[in-house]
Amino acid sequence: MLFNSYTFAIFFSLVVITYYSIKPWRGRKIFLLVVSYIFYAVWNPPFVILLWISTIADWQFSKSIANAKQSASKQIFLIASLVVNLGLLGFFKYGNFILENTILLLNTIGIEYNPPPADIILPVGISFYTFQTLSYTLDIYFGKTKPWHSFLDFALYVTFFPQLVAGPIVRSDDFLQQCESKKIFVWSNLGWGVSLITLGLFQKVVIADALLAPVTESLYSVSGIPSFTAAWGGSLAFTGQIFCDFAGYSTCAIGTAICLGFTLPRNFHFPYAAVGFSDFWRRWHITLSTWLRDYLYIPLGGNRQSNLRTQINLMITMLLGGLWHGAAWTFVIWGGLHGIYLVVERYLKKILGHQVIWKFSGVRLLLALFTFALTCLTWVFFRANSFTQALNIIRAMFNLSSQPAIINISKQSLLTTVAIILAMLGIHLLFRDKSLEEITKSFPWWVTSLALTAMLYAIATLHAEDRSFIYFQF
Amino acid sequence: MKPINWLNIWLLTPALLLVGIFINEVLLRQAKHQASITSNADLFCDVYSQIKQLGAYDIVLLGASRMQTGLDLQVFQKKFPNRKSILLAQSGRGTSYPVLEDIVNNSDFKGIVIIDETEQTLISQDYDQKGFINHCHNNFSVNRQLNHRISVWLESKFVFLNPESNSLRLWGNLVTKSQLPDPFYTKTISTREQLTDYARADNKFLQEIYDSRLKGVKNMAKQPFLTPEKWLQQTEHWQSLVDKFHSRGGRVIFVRMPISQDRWKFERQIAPRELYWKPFVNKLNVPSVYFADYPDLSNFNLPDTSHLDMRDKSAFTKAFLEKMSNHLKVNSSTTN
Repeated sequence: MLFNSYTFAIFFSLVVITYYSIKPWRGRKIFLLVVSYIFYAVWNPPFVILLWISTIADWQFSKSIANAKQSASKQIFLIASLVVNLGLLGFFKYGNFILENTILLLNTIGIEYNPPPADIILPVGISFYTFQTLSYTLDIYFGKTKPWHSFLDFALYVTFFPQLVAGPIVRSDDFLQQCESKKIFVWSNLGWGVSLITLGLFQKVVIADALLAPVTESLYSVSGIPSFTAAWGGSLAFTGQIFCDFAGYSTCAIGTAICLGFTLPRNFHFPYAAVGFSDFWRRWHITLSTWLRDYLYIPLGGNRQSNLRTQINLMITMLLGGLWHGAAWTFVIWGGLHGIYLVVERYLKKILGHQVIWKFSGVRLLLALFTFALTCLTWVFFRANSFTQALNIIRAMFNLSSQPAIINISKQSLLTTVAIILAMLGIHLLFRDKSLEEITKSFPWWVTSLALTAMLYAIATLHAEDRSFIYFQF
Repeated sequence: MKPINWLNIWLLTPALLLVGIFINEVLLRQAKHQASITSNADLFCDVYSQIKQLGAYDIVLLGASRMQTGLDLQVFQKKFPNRKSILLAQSGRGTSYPVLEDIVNNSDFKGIVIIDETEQTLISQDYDQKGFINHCHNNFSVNRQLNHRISVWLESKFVFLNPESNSLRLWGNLVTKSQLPDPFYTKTISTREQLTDYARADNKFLQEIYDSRLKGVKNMAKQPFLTPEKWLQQTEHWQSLVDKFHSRGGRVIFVRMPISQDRWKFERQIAPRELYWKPFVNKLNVPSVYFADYPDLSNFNLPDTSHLDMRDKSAFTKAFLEKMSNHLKVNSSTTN
């Protein structure tokens, strides 16, 4: 079920009313669990079984890890959990990719092997809930937390519908503690939650879908050589679209959870105001980058070993982070480029970081703009349908195309894109150190009301082709 | 910092929003904009889902925009009150072969399929129409169906929900040109028919379309086209599909929908029907209706070279059904 649909509006209204009408807290949690399964099942009912497998397996394995006396036994149960979770993820998400690359490899070495395509359907949200359940088992294995006492709470943690299909990726400690006490209906929660949903929908429906997606598609949906302006216009449009699409989903998810009395972690914090790439990853998809940091980078050794090993750990983390986003080499390149940026930044900080010049606001602004430009350039690999297309666009962005350009975008599209990106950059730079709540509180109530009215008006009257959230495919 | 006054905010916001939408709607209606349903994959799937209820006498219409603008399903209904007809033509998406393929291979339908194609689309390997079919099989969930029904109901009532009349266009025109935007001249209704009202169209805009389409056909006429033999070879993919459909009792009728006289002058040069169309239908052993064979099908005015005005829809459909009457006869041996 999409947040930007009439059915969700009806579903959510009924859920809120019923949820607060149920008196016993346990009854409310059961209700939330059932509606979360319904929310997921309306997309493809059989895939609910995968959710159950993931839930039951991690519940059992984590209990076994906690009860095991010897570390070898703990390891066996952890491996079992990893096999189940990563096995499902690997099969459904990477099955086609592995098959295609195996065929390519075998054909290259002269072995003729051409099986029919596997046509595996990717269950929506599998990357998100797999990481979520894994984090619970890993936390127990590393002794960071103890097994939770209630299976109902754990099942709700895995399935909680606001964040089930595209995050934020919630940690068990953060969520399960919230299941302890009954949520009381608070008007301000509803007010703030609905305001966040409005903001998220505005980002998604108006900015991402109605204004930027058509410009992005005019570059990426056709093959050929783009002009310089088309390459930049389309890439800038995607830079804005991917942020508004994904941050829009996260904002809706956080708002939806708040209406039900739950707090979800922040997933974006004005990322295009980042100064450098370590700052970017503290602001972009925060719950994924902290997950990768805690469960991949640190267990690999983090920065506790030699300098070279730290750089290798960074690269491995970012390459796998890229692959998490999608089963294609373009995603690996995207992650690899971010890895290289982080490695270079680390090196530069080491040799030049002590200079006073970095404290001047003008220099920091230039660095932020440079970070943005590189981010924008790197998104090309994320969005491109093939490596060839990505290279054609990158060449055109530097006016290095050897063939005549056949893809152009209109002046109006270019102007719209530039205006939106400038506004977005301005907002990100202006509010880079503030939270949404602080920003809202700094304005008189009627200004907030006018802003919400404008957003709702735009949502209602600016329609585009119906699009799913981009991150659903991950 | 003071707490936020959510009560005031959420009392004022809906009130302001309603005023805004009301003004929006009034302005659009004043400028003669009209409510229209979005013709998308969901609408296609909604109509396609009806195929399960169709019997051996019922009719499925395939093709492209000419079918959507030219045929009036109410006339079908009046002429054949006991037979149902559904429109599965897709505008601007090439050949309808993928839709016929899905009907033949994935449904039990054994009625009549009327297919609008041209000499160019009959040899096309382009699978654009497959996109909607895939959407029906993979994405058109119960939730999507429900959402679509609500959406269609609202879109049929409110002009501001018409994507062609969006607020960016409205306020953009008001700010830059100090005038309301011109209404769009086509609209879609729930049967997927398109109503083209050329009286609403800007003449300059229409002339530009006319000129550019004619220029395209003229250029095409200068290029060498496939020889009739080679062309016929490239239409072979239809044979097995049509045979399979015939074998379960279905009937297929190919139609060539009207185009403007100017355009026809060039198109008939490119692929004379005696050398292309007729051998094709003979080979497939299927009936066909070619507009140029009938003066009462070819004398309509088509201001954009391709599509009929909504006022001509009914008259055209009546004439069209008359030519079809033999092919649409109920076969007494066929059971429903």
